[in-house]
Amino acid sequence: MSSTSLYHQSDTRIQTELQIIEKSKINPQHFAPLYDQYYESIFRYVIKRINDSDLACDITSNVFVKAITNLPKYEFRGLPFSSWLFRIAKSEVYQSFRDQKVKRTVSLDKVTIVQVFEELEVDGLEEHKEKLKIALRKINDKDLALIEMRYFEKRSYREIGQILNVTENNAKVKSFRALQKLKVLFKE
Amino acid sequence: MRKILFNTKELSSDQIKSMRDFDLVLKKVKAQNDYWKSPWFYGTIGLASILSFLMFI
Repeated sequence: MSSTSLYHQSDTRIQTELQIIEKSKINPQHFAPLYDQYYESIFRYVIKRINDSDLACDITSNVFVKAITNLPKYEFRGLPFSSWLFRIAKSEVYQSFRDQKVKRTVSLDKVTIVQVFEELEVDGLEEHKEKLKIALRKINDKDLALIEMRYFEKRSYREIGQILNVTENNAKVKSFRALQKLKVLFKE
Repeated sequence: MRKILFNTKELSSDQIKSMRDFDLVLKKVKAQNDYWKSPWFYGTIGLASILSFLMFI
């Protein structure tokens, strides 16, 4: 599992979070343990997409401001609280692109590149990097988001579904189709 | 155009932890809540409502 994901949690952990959430609705200061727990994963999610640590810090801060402000509307539906935070983060990141504060970035490490090439069924690394760059520039935003979460960040289909507000099965189908599109673009 | 970055240096957990500032988050939350409660907000909304009503009639 990726270090960016804190998704798999025990029922006890989820119940503890729920208690913190209920207390935080009355007094936001009680939210501190959740802030400490999720800050890093949200920050990493943001910085991978914008590559600017100062702006990532601002956006992450805004994610938590929005989360606390909207806590009265939060309803537990059996999903981990983190999926709600990631949904806010996704929306804040896209807002920064719309406001043209920053350019959309796709960040890949060496291990991820090797794994992506395996998925794309190609050998070699250096000679194909440029082709991968071009394909990642061409693919549409929705497919890129799926590819990033599934193949770069190694999130489960369940988590992807909850972040994108679709079913687990739908997330699986969409991720597979996105990969197929990337393959086509890569081979062009 | 999208920027594609290979092998960027990731910040360490300690570096990220040092950026946390929960007090700032609480300040922003308070500022937002105060804005909704401020006379300026309701003054603006009230004025806009009156003007829309006058334009309507």
